[in-house]
Amino acid sequence: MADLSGDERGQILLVAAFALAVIFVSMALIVNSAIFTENLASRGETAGSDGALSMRATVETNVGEGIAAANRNNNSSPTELVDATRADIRTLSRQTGRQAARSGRVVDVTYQSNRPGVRIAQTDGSALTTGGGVTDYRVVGGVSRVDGANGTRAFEIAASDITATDNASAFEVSVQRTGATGNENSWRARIYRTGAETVHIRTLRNNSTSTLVEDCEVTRDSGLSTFRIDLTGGTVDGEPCDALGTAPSGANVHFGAGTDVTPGGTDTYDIEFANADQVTGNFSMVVYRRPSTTLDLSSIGTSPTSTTALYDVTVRYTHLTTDLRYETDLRVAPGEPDV
Amino acid sequence: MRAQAHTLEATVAGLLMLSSLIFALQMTAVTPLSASTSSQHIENQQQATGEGVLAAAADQGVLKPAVLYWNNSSARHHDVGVQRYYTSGPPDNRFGEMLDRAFNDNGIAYNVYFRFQNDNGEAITRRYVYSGVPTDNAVTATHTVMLNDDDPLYGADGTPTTDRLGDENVTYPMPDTGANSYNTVRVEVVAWRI
Repeated sequence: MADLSGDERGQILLVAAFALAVIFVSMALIVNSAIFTENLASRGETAGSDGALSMRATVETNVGEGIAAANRNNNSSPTELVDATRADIRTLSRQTGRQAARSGRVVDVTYQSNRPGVRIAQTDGSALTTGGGVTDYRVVGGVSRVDGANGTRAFEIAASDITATDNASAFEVSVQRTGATGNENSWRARIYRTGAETVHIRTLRNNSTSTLVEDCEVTRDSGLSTFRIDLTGGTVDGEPCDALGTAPSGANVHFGAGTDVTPGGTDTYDIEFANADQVTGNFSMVVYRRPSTTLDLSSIGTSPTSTTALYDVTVRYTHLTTDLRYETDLRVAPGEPDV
Repeated sequence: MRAQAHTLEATVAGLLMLSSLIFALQMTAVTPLSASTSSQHIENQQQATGEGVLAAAADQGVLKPAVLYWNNSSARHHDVGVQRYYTSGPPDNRFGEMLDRAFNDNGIAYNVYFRFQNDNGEAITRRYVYSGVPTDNAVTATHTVMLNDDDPLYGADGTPTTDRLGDENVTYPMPDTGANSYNTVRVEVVAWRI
């Protein structure tokens, strides 16, 4: 030890220890604040709007399932349809609300309005012909488009068998402007098989000057007994099929949009089947019926059959947290593609 | 006397040095498991993973089949054993595979609960996958699924059976609380580091 004089002994040591302690503490503070800054910077948005939006998506899905169930089970009259849907939405709102309260949120869903439609479906697993065996027929005529969408939604075919193996004899779904001649203003989808497990879909879109042809093929997972073709959703057995999606330019020219029928106007389009004996199975679709118009369902009897349905339902969705109030009208149309 | 005072001073100084060192060393005592702002960051990531797994499962349509993965004759989930919930790893369905891939390889334990209500609106919680009591740093991710009377129960191989929720003889443990709708289930994934 250095020879320190008299009273100062040990004091330098004390001061040094104190200084060291202060340095260590301040270093701890600096390191901690750096970690905290990094933590703040890498957080997502903090107001919690992602929770409101994900709950909105959940509500949309669940209301959609309620509409689909009502269309299947409560279709004897429009009043019964609306009552069943409203009851479903009330149950959903009550139960979802209570569960959201567990995480400090208020969620409320209330019914606002609906737009009418018709559900056309076959459920007996026979060929997609009319009950009388007609293979080429008009499924529905006079369908209007709704703003931003086709006016046909949830068009799904569950085919237990597809016999056609080439383009010429393929089952064809044709969507054409009412009153157009030849193939003008039409969008057609041809469905045939190119292998035991592979389905080929070719779509053709005609306007007055040109034809746009697109193809896609999907091989289903082995062990499945049906081909699930979602014409409006653009998938085959859950896998995306380009030809049913949007055009390479990004524009949606498919289904109603491919017929140049503009939404909101008085123009309508027809949906027809050709070579319907080539496909065996079930299908279902919901089409929009503009109020005070009627749809042409003259070829539809018992198989396939048509029932009154809801095309879409608008609900008021409210989501409250301490930081956020989110309230919006939500239009729910399950199986309707974005246009 | 003087020597004793020096010794005492030196001891006190040594004690001060030592305690300041121990105090300063507290800052380095942040292990991966201790609660701090940096483990908050990890928790955020775990929660995002949980939300992602649930959202992906719902989007691929495998979340509801996982909820309805039920053996109607034995009145329990498929292959659960005596516990009536899965304790050794996730169930053998697509949702279980997704949980496995997201968590199991990364040293993260998780529980999956179903929360629903009975006719009186009382909240009921059922365990689906249970790995033990979560730590203080566990995070929760949720997704709400609505069950309908038309929904089928799913077989052990993941394919729908002919038993539907609305049928008379169905042993599914949630009560039917609506007309067309059956019940609303909140699927809750609780994850924590081990």
